[in-house]
Amino acid sequence: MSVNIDIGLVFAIPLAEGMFGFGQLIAWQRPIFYMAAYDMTAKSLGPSEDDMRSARPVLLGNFFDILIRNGRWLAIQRFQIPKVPFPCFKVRIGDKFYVESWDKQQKREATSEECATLQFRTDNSAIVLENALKAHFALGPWEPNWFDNLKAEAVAKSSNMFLSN
Amino acid sequence: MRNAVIGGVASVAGGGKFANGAITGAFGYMFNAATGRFIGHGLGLIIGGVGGIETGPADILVAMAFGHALGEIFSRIEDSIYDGIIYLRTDSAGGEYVGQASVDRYPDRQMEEQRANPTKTFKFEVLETVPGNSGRSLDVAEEDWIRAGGGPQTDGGPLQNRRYQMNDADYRKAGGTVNYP
Repeated sequence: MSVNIDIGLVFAIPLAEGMFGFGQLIAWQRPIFYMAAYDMTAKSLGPSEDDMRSARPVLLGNFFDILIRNGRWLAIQRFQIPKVPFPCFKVRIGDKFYVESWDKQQKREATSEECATLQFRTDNSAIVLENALKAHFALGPWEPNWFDNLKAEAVAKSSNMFLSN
Repeated sequence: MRNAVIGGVASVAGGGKFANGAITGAFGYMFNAATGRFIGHGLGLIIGGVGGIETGPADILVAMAFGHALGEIFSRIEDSIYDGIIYLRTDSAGGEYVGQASVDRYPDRQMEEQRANPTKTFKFEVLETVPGNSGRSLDVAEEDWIRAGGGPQTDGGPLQNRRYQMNDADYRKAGGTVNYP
């Protein structure tokens, strides 16, 4: 059975021999999916709807879907999308910096503090999510430069930043 | 490892006014991203080449010069009608490359990289958006960031770029203000 690569799709990420982690496609903005990876592992590929509902998103970010398309990550089925925070980014236009919402629908001038804190709009290769999830479960090294901004708490913080001014 | 380009952000002195002009209309689609110079160059060579046939083979130099001039004109036209992006590509080894693309072309460029290297660790960051109607040249913006990032490895800098985007004279003439690293 083929599964459309579309919003809501849950996929299994191989973490170790006989151990899978799980991710989900949350939103899409060409050419990138906003994905969540969950604090949940299993020995089999089929999490139930209840499993997904109780799972906590621990990593969030923009990733390409190539590893679903090439079969490394196994597409399972579509589930309801959880409510998750979306990051804000700093964008430079002309000689000014702005805070911009993930969907690019909101933008305002950034403070110097926000410029120092926020990251530029970033799209990651797919393997970054896999390695970050392995690191989350202590199956690989945590690389702060690559993974810190993907932590759900960090995303929530930047998400709130847009509302703070 | 400190990110050289991001760390150099303070030294990028940009010009131009804020504008959020999405370019629409048929004219905006006449030129694909980064093809303006190529088209102009090609046209110039063809036109100049026709002249060369009539007046002798030595005119190939004239054709090339003509091609270069037309290429620059097309590049300027392209800059003026497209929203552009200056991006930073970073790989797992800390290698950094500063590039430019039109807003339309940028997603394709990223996907090409991901398709070619499915399990490679890399990320793309948008350093600056250059509105097509801002009066700021995409080449100057890219040069700003290359200089801010410490310059190409071939010139002793940390970036994977093979060269600076502009020579210093053209950069200054176009309003560039960031000094060589």
